Amino acid sequence: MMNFLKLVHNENIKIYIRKRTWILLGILIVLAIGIPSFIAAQGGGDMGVWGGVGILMYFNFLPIIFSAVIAAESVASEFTGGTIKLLLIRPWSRIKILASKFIAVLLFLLAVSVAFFGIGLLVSYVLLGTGVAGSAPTAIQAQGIWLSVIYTMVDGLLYTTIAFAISAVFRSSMLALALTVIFEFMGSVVTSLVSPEKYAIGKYLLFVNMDLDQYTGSPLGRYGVTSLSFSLTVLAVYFVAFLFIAAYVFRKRDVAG
Amino acid sequence: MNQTDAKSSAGPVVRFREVSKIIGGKTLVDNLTLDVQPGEVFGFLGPNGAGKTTTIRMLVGLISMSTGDIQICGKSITTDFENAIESVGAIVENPELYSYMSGYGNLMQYARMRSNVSKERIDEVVAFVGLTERIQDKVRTYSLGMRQRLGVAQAILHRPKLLILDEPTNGLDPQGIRELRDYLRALAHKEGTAVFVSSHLLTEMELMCDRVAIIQNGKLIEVQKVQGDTGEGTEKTEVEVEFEVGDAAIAVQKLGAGEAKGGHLVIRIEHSDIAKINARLVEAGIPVSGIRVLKRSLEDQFLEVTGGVKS
Repeated sequence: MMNFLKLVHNENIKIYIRKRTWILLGILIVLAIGIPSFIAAQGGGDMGVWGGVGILMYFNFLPIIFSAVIAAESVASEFTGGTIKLLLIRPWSRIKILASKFIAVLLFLLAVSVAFFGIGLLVSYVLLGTGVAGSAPTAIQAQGIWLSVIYTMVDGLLYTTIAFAISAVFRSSMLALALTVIFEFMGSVVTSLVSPEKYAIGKYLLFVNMDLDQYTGSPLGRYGVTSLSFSLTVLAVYFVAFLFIAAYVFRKRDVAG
Repeated sequence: MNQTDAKSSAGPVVRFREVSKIIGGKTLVDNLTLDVQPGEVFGFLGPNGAGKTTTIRMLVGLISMSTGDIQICGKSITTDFENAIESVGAIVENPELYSYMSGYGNLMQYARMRSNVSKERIDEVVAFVGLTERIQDKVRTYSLGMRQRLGVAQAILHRPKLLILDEPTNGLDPQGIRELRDYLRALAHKEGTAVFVSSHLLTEMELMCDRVAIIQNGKLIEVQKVQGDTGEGTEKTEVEVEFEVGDAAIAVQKLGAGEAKGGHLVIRIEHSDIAKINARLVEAGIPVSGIRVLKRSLEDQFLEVTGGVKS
C-alpha cells in the first residue's frame, strides 16, 4: 500500500512540475479573489458572502474544464512522449499504474475545487460579510450554494472521468479534450432528438442526468421524468462503465510505435 | 515449490518457447525458441525490420504474444508479469524520458517504483554513466548520447538479473561505445547478469557479445558463439585467403579466380587447397611473399545466412 502511494506520488509530480498546471490554478485563484473584490468595489456589500459565491458560480465550468484538461493529458502524454514504455516495464500491473493516474487526476479535481470555491468563499466572507445574520433568506441561499458546489463537483467528476477514459483509450489528449467538450455541447442536441419526454430510453442518457442543479427547481428534473436518486444511480453506472472500458483497453493494448 | 525455484534459478534467465507475433495476417516473429544464460552477453542481430524490437517488446510484456510463452527466471511474462519483470531492466528503442524533469527526477520516478533502490545507488549509477555534472538539468537540454546514458542508468538502477538493451550504442560516441561494451561484459562475466543486446551493427556485436542470434524476417536463422571462435569449424572448410603477391591483377588473371584487394590476391577456397593455389601461382611465375587466412568475420556469416549482398 505504501508503495502504491509512491506511484500516486510519481503521478502528482508529473502534474505539478509543469508550469501550465500552475497557470490553470492561477486563473482560478485570480477569479476566486477578483470576483468578490470587484463586487465589493462596486459597493455591493449587502449581497453577503452567498451572493458573492453565487456570482462566482457562473464560472463553475472553468474548474471542470481545467480538471478535464489534466485528465486528458494523464495517459495520452505518456504515449505521445514515448515514456509509456519505460513506465510499463516496472513490477506493477497496468491496472495499478492506471489506478495511480486516476487517483492523481481526482486529487487535481479536488485541488481546482479548493482553489476556486474554497478561496472564493473565504474572500467573499472577508470582503462581503455574512449578510443579514441568521435570517431565513440567507440560510436558504447558503444551502442552495452548497448544493450547487457539490453538484458542480459531481459534474466535474464525470467530465474528468470521461476525459481520462478517452485519453486512455485513444492515447490522444487533443481528442480526449475535444470529445469531452463536444459531449458537453452535443448533450442538448442528443436530448432534444431522443427526448426523455417522448422516448422512455431518453431518461438513461448521460446528459439528461448531468447538471444536478435541475433538481433545485423541480424534484422531477428538467424533463419531469427523473429524480435526484435516479440521476445519481445513472451517473454512477456511467462512471463505472467509463472506468471499466479505460481499464480494459489499457490492459490489453499492444504498446508499439 | 522450492524445487521449481531452485531449478529455475539454475536454468536460463530467458526462455523463449515457440514465440510468434502475428498482426493483421503478417508474421512479425515466427516460432522463436531461444535460451539466454546467466553471465552471457547475448546479441540479437538482424537487419532493420527483422523483428528485433517486436521480440524485445514481447519479452518485456509491452505487447502480447500470438502464440508461445516467454519465461524470465522461470516466471511467465504473460501470466506472472509483476514477478517476471522484477528481474528486468530495459531500454526499448530510444530511451524516451520525461523531458520536463531533470535527469535525477527521472531516475527518482523509477526508483520509487522499486523497493531496493537507495539514494546512494542512484548517485553511484549517475557517476557510472558520467552524468553527475548534468543530472540536475532538465532532460530537454540533454544530447542524444546523454539521454542514451540516462536510459542505461534507469535500466541498471535496481541491479536486474536480465538487462535488455535495444540498439544501445545509438548516439554514443566511440569512447562511450567502448565504455558501454566494457561495462556490459564486466556486468555479465563478473556479476552473472544476462545481457540481451539487439543491434543491426555487426562489428559492434562481434566485439560485445558472447553469443549472437541472427534473425531475419522474424525467423531465427542461426545462433553462434562469437568470442574465441575462429569460425573454422570442420563443417566450414571454405575460407578466405589472402596471398601477398607482386601484382594482384595479373595473379587473378592467371588464376582465373579470386579478386585483387588492396594489392593482394584474395580468394575463397577450401582450407586444404591453399598449398595447391600457392603452387599454381609459383608455377605461373608469380612469387608469393605471404599467405594469410582471413578470419571469417561475423559480417561475412551474417551476410551469408541472410543472403545479403556485400557492397
